[in-house]
Amino acid sequence: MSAIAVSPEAAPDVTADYVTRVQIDRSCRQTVLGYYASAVAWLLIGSLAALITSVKMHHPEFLGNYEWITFGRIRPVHLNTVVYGWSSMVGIGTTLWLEARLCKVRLPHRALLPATVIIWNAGVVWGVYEVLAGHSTGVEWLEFPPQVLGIFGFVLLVLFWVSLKMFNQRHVHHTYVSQWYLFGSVVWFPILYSAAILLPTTGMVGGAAWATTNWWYAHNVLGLYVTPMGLATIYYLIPKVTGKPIYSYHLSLLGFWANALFYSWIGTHHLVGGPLPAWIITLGIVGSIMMFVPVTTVAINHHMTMIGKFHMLKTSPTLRFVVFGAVSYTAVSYQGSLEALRSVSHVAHFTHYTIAHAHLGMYSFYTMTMFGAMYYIVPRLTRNEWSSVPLIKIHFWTTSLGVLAYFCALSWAGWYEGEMMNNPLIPFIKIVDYTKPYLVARSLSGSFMTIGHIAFAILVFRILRSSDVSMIGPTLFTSKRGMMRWRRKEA
Amino acid sequence: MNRSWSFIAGVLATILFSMMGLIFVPNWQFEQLKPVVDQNGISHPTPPAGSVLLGREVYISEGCLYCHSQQVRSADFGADIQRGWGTRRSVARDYIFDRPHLMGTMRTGPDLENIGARQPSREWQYLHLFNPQITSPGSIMPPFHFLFKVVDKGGPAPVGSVDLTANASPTKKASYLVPSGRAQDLVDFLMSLNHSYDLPEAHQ
Amino acid sequence: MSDRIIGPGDSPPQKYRVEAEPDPAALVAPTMREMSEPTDGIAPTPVWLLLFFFVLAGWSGYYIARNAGGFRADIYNEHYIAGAAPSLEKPAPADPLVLGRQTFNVCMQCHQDTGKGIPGTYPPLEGSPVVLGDPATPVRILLHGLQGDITIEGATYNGQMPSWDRFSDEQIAAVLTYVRQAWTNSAHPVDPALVAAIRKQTGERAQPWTWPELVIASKTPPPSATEPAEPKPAKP
Ligand code: HEC
Repeated sequence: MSAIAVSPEAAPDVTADYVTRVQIDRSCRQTVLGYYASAVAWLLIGSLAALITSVKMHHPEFLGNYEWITFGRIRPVHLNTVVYGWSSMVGIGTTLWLEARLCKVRLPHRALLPATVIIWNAGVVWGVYEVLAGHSTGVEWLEFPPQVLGIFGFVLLVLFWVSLKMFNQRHVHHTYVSQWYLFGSVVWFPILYSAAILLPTTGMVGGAAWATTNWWYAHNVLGLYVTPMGLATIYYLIPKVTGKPIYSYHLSLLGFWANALFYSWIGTHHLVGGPLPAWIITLGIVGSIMMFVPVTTVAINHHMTMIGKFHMLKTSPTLRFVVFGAVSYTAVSYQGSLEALRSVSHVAHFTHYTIAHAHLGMYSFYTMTMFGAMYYIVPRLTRNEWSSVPLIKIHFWTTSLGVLAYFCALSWAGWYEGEMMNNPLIPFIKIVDYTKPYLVARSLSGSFMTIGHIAFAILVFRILRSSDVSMIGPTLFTSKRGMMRWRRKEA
Repeated sequence: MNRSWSFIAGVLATILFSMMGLIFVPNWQFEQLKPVVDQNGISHPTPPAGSVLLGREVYISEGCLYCHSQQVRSADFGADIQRGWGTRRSVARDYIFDRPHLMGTMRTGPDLENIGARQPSREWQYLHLFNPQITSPGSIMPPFHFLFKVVDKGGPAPVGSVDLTANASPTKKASYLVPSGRAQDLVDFLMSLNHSYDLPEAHQ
Repeated sequence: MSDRIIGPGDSPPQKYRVEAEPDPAALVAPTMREMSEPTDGIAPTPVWLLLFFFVLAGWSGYYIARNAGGFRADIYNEHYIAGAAPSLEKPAPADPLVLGRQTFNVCMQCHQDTGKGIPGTYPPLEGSPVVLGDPATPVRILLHGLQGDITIEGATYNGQMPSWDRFSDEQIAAVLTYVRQAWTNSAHPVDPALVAAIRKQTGERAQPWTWPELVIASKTPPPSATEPAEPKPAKP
């Protein structure tokens, strides 16, 4: 088997353990693939919504006669489909698989879990419909009707229950760091989500405190839900693919608890300069600066593990995507900490700079990491190999270059937009004019990313559908045509 | 970290701690805020009601908040006041009746916290909403054609309509622009956005 | 629960074997070639890192002490000291041209930053005889607004001009001075005293002006106008 090992030095693990793995993968198959397939569908829908939004920003008349897709509706549709459709579903799928693998137990509740795929999808569809029909709640990141809580909340409870069960029945003595993050996100998110919906809608919180609740939620979605899932994946996949142990247990521990402690405070940096007493803003800023602690530890841990294994980026699609995500995580977190400072926020707040930052986080870090995860996990569940090296290459280069171009264009435009906005002698319309070329650049880089998503969707579609053929050997960037022989499984 | 319950307890503690600090304590502080009464006996801010409240719904439903903030920053933080977006900074008391809050995080367009004071002309608002290019050539604000009807001139002017010049009209003929009920509500809401009253804590 | 936990060494449960495909090698190829589950290294936490964290924590404590406004609900500006005079508001610029330009930010919504207005609706300010003529007329318009048609240089405009009486005398004088000197315009500055005088004279008025009314009003000079009232009205 060593001929097809991913890494030449480390030997693949073919001990009795692998029987367990096969069984675990099999137990995950239906659920995780269900989540993944839905996630990719939402990714495509989200990209379409993003493109329409983006074009409307420089050509406001584009599809301007249709109330259902006016800018103010299609934009939240983009955000909610990529957050609750793509990111959540790909994250939940990955969480379940990772937990099963890390606990060495089969996925329990194999009738209920696939049903949650349908239930979650129904929630997103309903929410999107309500937003398009003009019934948004008007609270950013929570535009879906509050009743969706019933749907998502149910699935999240199932998820919590399943995670707890697997954790209590685990067949390992040592709890690996990914496990903490996943378990953290499974506990945090239901609380976040229900608090952010219930507190205001029951009237317990209102007025300006609704704004702090809103941003407490919206930033914690990133920090206590999306980031833990992304980091758990990176923590798992870098050692898994390279065969090296993660650099330091102590750093993992420090990083996890520092993240838990500080991240939950930083949401109010979205209101710097806003109508909130100084102390609330100050706490948000301090939380953001203290995020240097977990971020630095995580960065050392990830990047030190990679040392000596960089050559594998040439071959392994998984590793390349995941390391791209890990590097982006470091970058976006440092940027975010600095952005919270009053002196930076003074310029960057309210501008496209923030949008660029958000995409560096949600896309460059999280989404790229999840692409990597899917490249790793899906072949194990389908017992199939990815069908085309060129498509993977297209996927990687369009998305990575696309998001970089996106980030650069909007950061630059946003910063100058902010500088101009702070100069009262520049007419507002001049600022609008200034940003227009960059908004066009955004549409172009967004189209690039969408091309990548389509390539990826084709790959996923093929690997899911052709369940009766398999290839010999993994699909690496360096795989040659000859190595990709198709073989019919004798079924 | 091998016992799940102690782990869960730790994880819960962190989030409850921040909930306390960022939700409950601020909410408790803001609950003490009451409207102020000016020399004329009018209390500020006033809760939105009637068409203003309906207009607020339209504002939310059309997603104006993704491009417009509703908060004025202080004089030493940005140029909001010099741009004429307000006469003083916004403070939590301005929002005591806001459900939900519409503070916003983007300024693709100007701040609207005081648009009622800055642009008191309904006619301008209708023309601008119908097609921002009429009043603000080069704007990237979307047109809201679907909130209006265009009627050829000839008959009597429909109630509440405004004149549309030939080059502004989609029919290329001088017409009347008739706002729908929702457009009227929306403009009522915009008109009500006026926080020019004075507050003691807003001078910092 | 029917879920059996499988540990290393357990034999695969019966259920699995029934489902197993005949070609195990192809079946599990990806799973077989993978590395064992990740493990933790034991590299110690570097000392410089801990130092860095202590510095950050120290900074945070200092920042909170300096900028939290005593955790009070009524302190918004972190530099504000409770009880101090509200001195942080920037005084209005002394230069009328700068103040005027800032005030003009509001006027731009209709008259545009180019001062060219919107054809048919909002009249231009650049080169307009109303702007450049007797300043009393634009002062009146600013104080009470204008409705109905107005004709400037042969073109008719029907937009409504709202009243700006909430602006101070200095601000109205400044913005008119700015407008009279911006673009290609050049006319002498407007004195705040003139604004004050007209405000007093027309204080009773509740309606916006119409153009014919303004023509009549321009015949009566304001009581204490500092400049000779030499109306140069636009031809209506
Ligand atoms: C795509 C972003 C966008 C959306 C959505 C949007 N606007 Fe705007 N808005 C702008 C821009 C840009 C300007 C500045 C140029 C102009 O005057 O059109 C503006 C200007 C305005 C102004 C004039 C403010 C001033 O000081 O000149 C008002 C009033 C306004 N918008 C109201 C609304 C309302 C009401 C909605 C929702 C029905 C809305 N906008 C939706 C971008 C947007």
